[in-house]
Amino acid sequence: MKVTLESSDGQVFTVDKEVAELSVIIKEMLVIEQANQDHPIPLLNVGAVELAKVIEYCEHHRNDPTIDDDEDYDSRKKPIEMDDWDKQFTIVNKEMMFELILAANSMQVKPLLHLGCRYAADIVKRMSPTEIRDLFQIDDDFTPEEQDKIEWEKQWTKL
Amino acid sequence: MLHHSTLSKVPKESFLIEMPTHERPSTSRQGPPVKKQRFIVRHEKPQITTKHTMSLQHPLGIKPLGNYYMDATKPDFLGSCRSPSLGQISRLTDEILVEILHLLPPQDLLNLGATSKVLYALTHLDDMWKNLTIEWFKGDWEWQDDSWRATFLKRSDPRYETLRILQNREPMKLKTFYSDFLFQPFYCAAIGMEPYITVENIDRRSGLTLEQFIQEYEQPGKPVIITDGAQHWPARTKWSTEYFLRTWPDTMMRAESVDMTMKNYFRYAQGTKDESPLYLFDKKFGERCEGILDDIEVPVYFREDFFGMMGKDQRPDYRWLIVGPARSGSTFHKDPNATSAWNAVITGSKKWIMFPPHILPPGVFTNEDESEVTSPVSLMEWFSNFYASTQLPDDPAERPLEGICREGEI
Repeated sequence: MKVTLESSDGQVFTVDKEVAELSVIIKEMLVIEQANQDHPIPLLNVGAVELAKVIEYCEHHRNDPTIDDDEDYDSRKKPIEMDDWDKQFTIVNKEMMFELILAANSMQVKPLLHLGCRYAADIVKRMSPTEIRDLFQIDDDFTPEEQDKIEWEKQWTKL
Repeated sequence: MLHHSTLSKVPKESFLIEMPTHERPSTSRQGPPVKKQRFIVRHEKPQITTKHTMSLQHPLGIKPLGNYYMDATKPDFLGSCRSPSLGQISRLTDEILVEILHLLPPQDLLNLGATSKVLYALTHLDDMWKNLTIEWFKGDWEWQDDSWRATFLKRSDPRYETLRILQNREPMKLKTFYSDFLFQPFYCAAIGMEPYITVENIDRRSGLTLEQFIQEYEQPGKPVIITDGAQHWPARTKWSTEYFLRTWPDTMMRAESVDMTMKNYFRYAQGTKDESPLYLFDKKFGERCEGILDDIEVPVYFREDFFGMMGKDQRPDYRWLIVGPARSGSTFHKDPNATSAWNAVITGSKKWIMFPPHILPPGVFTNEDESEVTSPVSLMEWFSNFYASTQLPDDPAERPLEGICREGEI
């Protein structure tokens, strides 16, 4: 069975139901709107570029076993298994990855959200505050007194 | 077999014990008759809440989002510092950012915290440091007065706390950061129980004979607080923080997922500002705390014990010592194996709220066979978001049963 999805900028995508159902939100919508499949499902927060990418991800992972809820922190810490395809998939610039994280979050595609968060966490690993500021265009908004405080706090980063 | 939730509320230093349960064959419709007991010592700290929620000040100066609109009407309004302070990552929500931060080791969190004000605030979310502390050190840490973060850093480097005190390091204050996601845990920990303890519609009885108890409460499956239930126990005069610390300071006890010494647990319980503090819940206290079983007794109402026939080694867990500070407690649940529980409070007090077994409390969701339960992250969050709606029905029978079990009561 096919379902159609419409991006925020009006582009329509047709995908297999089981692929679309990797999104918890769509899965729930399909339950509610069973009878009403004439209209595409509108995704008001997801642009066409991102939606295409999310669908690409879901197509590849359509047969994955469903992951249980991720509420407890133990499972959150588990490294995500990334196959070669996933590694290839995440070769995008960070701006694109942030948009994908937001899309995955609003559509509730949990494994993709995890993948994106892991990617974002890996970017900043072992970076200094200055490097992080430069990378993301973050203002150094500490006052001189705060800077002093911060210098003191930074000494614990050697642990 | 009631959905119930329990929570402590007394503001003074105090203890409670909770004890627990049984069901006779005649009343057992849902499964094998069994009996279990639960002993709770509950430790409570002096209350930290203010009376007026409007004046609640987050230690880092984080404000709820609603304040943004209020502040925006003021002539000296500075706007929100979120965008400049987060640069490109301001696209992501606070919730997603915290999700990402949860994946980072402490070194990276400290570096990020030194990057900008908002990252400083985000990396101070104490829940992250709680997880790190437990993950790295299990129960082997000593609580540092104000936070899990300080506890973690001190445990990693003993010089941390000394230097902090010497240099009088106060946390930074943000003036223009608005975040419900970060304000909420602080708010839930700070509001206090006062608004939620006025209703007491569970029967409070004393001088009950065994026959009366069976007829009026056990057979109909109706909760009751027996006010003279444990008044005469030796525990009532013996048990206190000091007694426990003097008698079993280095005894390992179980608090949720970690084993820690009695001494360390009490230190934590006295200092914590957690929204839902670790709750000591130990089933081996009889063996671990020598002599402690002499301080308690099974009341006449609960002496029939069908699981007792299985022998000590075979029977399922049936008694617990429970200790917890204000705000700690169990979220909504049904007890397993169709048992029903009796709880004795030794010091402090314990709030109970119960729904009939077929009613799902608001804000609580389960899957079909009720093997998984989803509910708000803390009891205080449940009370602040859902309690009011439970009081709406005009028919008292549609409202939950509530009561406070006080010292010496069962």
